[in-house]
Amino acid sequence: MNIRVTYAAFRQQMTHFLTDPQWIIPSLIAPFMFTIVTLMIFKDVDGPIVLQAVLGGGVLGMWGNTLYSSGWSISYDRYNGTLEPLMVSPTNLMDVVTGRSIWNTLIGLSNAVLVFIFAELMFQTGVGLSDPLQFFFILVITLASLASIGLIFSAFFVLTRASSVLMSSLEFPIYVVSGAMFPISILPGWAIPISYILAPSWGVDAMKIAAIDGYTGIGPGILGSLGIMIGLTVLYIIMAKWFFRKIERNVRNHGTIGRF
Amino acid sequence: MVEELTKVFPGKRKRPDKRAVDGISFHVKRGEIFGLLGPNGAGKTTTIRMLSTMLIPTSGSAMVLGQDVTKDEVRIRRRINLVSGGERGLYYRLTGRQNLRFFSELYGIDPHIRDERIDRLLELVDLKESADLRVEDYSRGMKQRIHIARALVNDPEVLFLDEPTLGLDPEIARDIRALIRRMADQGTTILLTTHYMFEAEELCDRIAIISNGKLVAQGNALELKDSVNNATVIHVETRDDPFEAVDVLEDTEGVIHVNYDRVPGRFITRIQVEQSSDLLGDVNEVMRGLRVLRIGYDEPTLEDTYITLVSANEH
Amino acid sequence: MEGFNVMRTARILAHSSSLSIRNTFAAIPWWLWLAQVLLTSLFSMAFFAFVADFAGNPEVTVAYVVLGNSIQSIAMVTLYSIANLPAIEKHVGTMPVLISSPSGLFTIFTGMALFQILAGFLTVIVSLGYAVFIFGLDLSAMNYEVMAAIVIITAFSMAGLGMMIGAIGIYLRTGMILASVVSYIGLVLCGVNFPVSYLPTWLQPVSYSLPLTYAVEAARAAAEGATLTEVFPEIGMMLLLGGAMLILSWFMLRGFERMVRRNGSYEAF
Repeated sequence: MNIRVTYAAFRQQMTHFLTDPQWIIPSLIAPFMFTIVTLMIFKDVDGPIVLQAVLGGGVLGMWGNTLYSSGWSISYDRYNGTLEPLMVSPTNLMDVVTGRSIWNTLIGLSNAVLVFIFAELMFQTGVGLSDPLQFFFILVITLASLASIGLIFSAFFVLTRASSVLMSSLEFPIYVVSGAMFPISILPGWAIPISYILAPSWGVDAMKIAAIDGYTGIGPGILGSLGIMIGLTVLYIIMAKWFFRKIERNVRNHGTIGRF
Repeated sequence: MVEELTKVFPGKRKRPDKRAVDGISFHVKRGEIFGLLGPNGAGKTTTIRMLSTMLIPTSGSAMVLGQDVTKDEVRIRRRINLVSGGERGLYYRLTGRQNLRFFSELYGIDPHIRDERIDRLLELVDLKESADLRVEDYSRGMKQRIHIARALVNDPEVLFLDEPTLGLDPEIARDIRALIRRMADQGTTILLTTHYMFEAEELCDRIAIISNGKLVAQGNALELKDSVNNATVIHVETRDDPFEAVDVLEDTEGVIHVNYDRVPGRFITRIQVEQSSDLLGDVNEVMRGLRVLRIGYDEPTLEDTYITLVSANEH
Repeated sequence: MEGFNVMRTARILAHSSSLSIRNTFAAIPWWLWLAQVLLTSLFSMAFFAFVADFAGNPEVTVAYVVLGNSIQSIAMVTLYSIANLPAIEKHVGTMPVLISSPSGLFTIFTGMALFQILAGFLTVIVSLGYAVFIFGLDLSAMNYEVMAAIVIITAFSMAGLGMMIGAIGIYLRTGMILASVVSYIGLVLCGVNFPVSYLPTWLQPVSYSLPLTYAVEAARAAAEGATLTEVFPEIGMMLLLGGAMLILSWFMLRGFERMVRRNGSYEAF
């Protein structure tokens, strides 16, 4: 990995974002609305379940942003004609995308905090973390795992022309199977394995164990869930690397990146 | 150095394979401006993309700066750069300077050298004042110039220019050509594609003409003209539209190609004929009834040569 | 200004709607578009169904939520796509061409909207199918004719709202953002997932100025077998609001055309 390239890509993404920050709204609107609705439906329930919803809302916020901004990362270059100069440079595309994803992840975190603060103000759940440091650590790892999914997506979306369609198709399924708003156990049997291969599901689980008294979790406990998430994240990064190599090969062999 | 370079794009959905570049060979010397000339779809862009490591050749080989484009792409990429015509290819929400800085980072340029070089490049392309404006606010000519500056951030030894003046108004195109000249004078090897004849004639030390993926001729402008010395041109200027005469001439034995153009006040018809044939009389005959301003033999221009070569290849 | 020419208008409508269809399917194959519609409506419904299941709120049952979301699915497709039309034209850069054509923006966008309305019908049928077969919604008492009438009128009123938002979007640089906000707002404001009475009192008037609120209310009644006369107040309100919004959007688009022609701000797009 080339730190300078990654940092330059990070700054580039930041500048892009700061010149037109209102474009965060489309990636934030669904998680925001979904969280409000959930909290409304939980009206007469109180205690830890509501806290779960607030935490879950934050995760949805991070997910929406990861999906849209990372998904567009390289597609934007293709659309913009900057993919050529990127390809001709001696840089690895993945370093560029990594830098951008790190920025996107930070925005995802601010999304989460926004949803969180909003929900707190509106519904006054009174969050008390039993171990804030541990919670924060899990949150950071969860963000990293989301960013690694973002890497896979940005590569995958370049290979398929219909990326915008895929992107909007993927937003809600993850809301459902990540268990952000309700325990995975109430999902139908076939959906549970899908939850298990998604790193954020384990992150959500670990966060809930850390934040909510009396929450039992999926099973492996806080360290177990954390470990599984880290393992999956590493796997995602390897997959992303493979995808990027495939892209480079495709481009150089066929002249176009992806046809559908 | 290019040997038997071929690129075949596999056909999509039962369409036949497309042989975009079909076994071309040429050699570019250090420090020269080499032009690839040819009609649209002749394979110019595909060639330049293979040489700039963006495409892997199907067969044949190409060496850039002594390195193989298929295997040593990363080493080549550090020492080359590419400009494609048109406005795309910049980050519009960034300023000109930010674009240059970003691309410099991709080449790992030392920060000290980088900032100094960016200032120098901005001066070179005359964008010093607008360096901190966003590219989306640039005019077309400014975008094209910042493109060239972008391609120079790594101080490339070889620069590929794909239709660098495409769609620019004449004045801006002239500026760009002057810029290309200046870069060559500083020792950069330049390989450019164009389908503007005068551009090739004005800029290029040597020219290769490509048609249907095949290289049909190469050399400097004079050599190219000489290479088709079996052809000569009859130049006719008329007040009236000679379209009927042109139809007749095209079917006349000994005529290679007829090209006619309207310019203010008259029509210019250039008839390329085989040198051995004496067709002046026949042309006179066919043009009878039209108000002829001038008629006579003429030296073939590069454009005539080009038309002869390309139309011979197409038939 | 020549008189209103029915044939010509019909031709423009037909052309612009087929253009809109071709635009939709130029970038993506039709089956992928269909897959997106099917997946998105399934999973957004599933999300709220599981939340309702988990919450155990006696007022907000799974059946309550899935029926509400079936109707909301029209908004997701019709409202969003229509509100987004001008923004897309601006993005692609065809707006100056459209304005300089003799057809009038309103007619062109109406034509483009027709396809989105059809897509809305498809979505609502599919969503009701999910609701019944996957989430166990009981529609045995449903009055089918009344439900069909409600769906059609809902699509009409959503188109009205969409055209209005779209017209606002022309003035704004960020029309797409506005469209995405408005298409999700129904989830919270219109009684889709929980009764309007849960909302703070100052927000409730906003709910009752949106046609979707009446659509959801009427659909709930029709599912329990209400007759046309029983849901007439809701249907009437939808027609009224949808019609008013359409007329308003017509004036806005006209005014906008004139403004652009006066100060020549085509470059603003």
